[in-house]
Amino acid sequence: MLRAIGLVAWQTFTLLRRDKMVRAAVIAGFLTTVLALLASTWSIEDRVKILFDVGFFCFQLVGSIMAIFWGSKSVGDSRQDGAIEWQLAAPISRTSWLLGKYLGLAVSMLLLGALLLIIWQLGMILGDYGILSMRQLAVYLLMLLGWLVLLALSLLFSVSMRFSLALFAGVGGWLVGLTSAAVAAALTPETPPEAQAIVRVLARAWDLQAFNLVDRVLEAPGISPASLLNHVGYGIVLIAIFLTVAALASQRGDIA
Amino acid sequence: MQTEATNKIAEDVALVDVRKVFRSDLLRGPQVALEKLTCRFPAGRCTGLLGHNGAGKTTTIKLILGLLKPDAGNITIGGSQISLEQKRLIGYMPEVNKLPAALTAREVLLFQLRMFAPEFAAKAAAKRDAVEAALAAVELGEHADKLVGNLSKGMARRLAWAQATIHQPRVLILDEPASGLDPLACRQMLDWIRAEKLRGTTIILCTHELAQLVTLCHQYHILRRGKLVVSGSLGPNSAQQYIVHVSGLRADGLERLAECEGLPPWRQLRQEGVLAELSFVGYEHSAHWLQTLLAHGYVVTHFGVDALAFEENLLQHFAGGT
Repeated sequence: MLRAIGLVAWQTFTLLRRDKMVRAAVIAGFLTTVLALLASTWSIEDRVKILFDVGFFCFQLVGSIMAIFWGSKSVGDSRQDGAIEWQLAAPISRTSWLLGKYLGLAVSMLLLGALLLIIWQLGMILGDYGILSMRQLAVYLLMLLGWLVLLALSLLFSVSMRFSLALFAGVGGWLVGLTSAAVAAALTPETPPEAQAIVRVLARAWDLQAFNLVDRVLEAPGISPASLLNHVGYGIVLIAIFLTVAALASQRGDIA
Repeated sequence: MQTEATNKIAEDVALVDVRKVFRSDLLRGPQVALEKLTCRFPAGRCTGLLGHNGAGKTTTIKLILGLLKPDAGNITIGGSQISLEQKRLIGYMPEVNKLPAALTAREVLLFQLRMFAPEFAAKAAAKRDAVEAALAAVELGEHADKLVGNLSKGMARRLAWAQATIHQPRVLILDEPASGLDPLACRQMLDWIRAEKLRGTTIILCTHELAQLVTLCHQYHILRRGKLVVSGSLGPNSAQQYIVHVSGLRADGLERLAECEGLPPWRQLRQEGVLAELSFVGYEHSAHWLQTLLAHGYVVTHFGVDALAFEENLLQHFAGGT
């Protein structure tokens, strides 16, 4: 089973590394680094804060869009060109196939993240900001975990719907995740109690800001190992839930 | 010798009371694709699966491949329910190219071999040799590193054949294998299928080409609206119509032949000068027929299945006649 998962992951990775979106993402990462350096240079104070605010915000954007796009496209493309039939006619269970897909996607996303990190680090060195601290690296890695969560969500949507719908649902889920905590915090006493309860539950269950700790890059309090573990655990639980539901959904239906 | 080889490598495929209903179309409601379909594809034999568009051929194939799940009934390979191990025995060549466009021909075959033949897992050299041999066999050696999306249609069909057979499957499912190929490539494809037949592979051949059916298959099943309407054998049998071309007719034509006793009913299809075309039903009469013709001094220039009559008969089944 592990061999079959590995083969599907390898194939998914091979297909993604030839995707034109990789070039676009790398160019976006380069432009982000340049933009962040320019913004920090032009600012009067808090140069480092502005560097990270601008840079990590743009990386968050690029990575999240790539995760949603690849997660939806990987299965959507296979379905459209019929390759899903070829892949699933092989001796592999649907769950293994799905895990292989996710593994291939995750490896591709992590490599893209590593590439963007190298560009960012080079930019920091050129701008005399030195080497990334462990705390800054931890914030970046947590952001990568957020990408992997979005990847799992998009894969779940793409298993049960067409590419365009899955993409739409993925973007919707992403926006809800980004804003849920802010909306919950902004609730007023006039909001009906039922609505308040729903928003608060949603904000606790699906909060993508949990993977955005850029405000802790420089300022106290720092990120304690326990708090970091909490965030990582939350991400892993979300990935596990999405992949489990996706596996269950893929068992039911017919292929193509 | 051939029979021994056949028994060793072949597996039979059987569908018993299989029912499949598609419920995805909310507007049209449930669509019954297969209704109590029971048919068998015997081990080591080539069986044609025929029917008009929408008759249920592709659904049958997808059920065997495990891509669709039956609502009722059983599908077995070699007497066992289809499992992941059983799927390893199958090779599948779809009607249209369904290989990922962004993989190279070599990567497709490597994936197929690793997935279907785990015995190659630890043998890198053997794996490489097998892939190179498969590429050479379908004349794609020079295009091994081309992306599938950049291959011509003929090349893509040859690659599809290579991926379906690289792991030496015991059951080979071919969906319109020669569709869209030029006559030369078509002949090559038929030769490859014949070679698989000789290897003793169980072949399920979906085709609209009746000529391919007659030349390749041992038997056939015809589906109509999800039901099996007729199955038949293409080997020597008593219901088949045969055709004889004779030369050397004299002035009295075939009158002397008509007076011969013991000959089964026959009819004259055509006569041109000293040549005539006759037909009769039942392979068991053929020896007597040929002996009689020779005894009367005729020269037999051709003897075989009456393809036209066979086609007419099949078309009646397609259309819903008897």
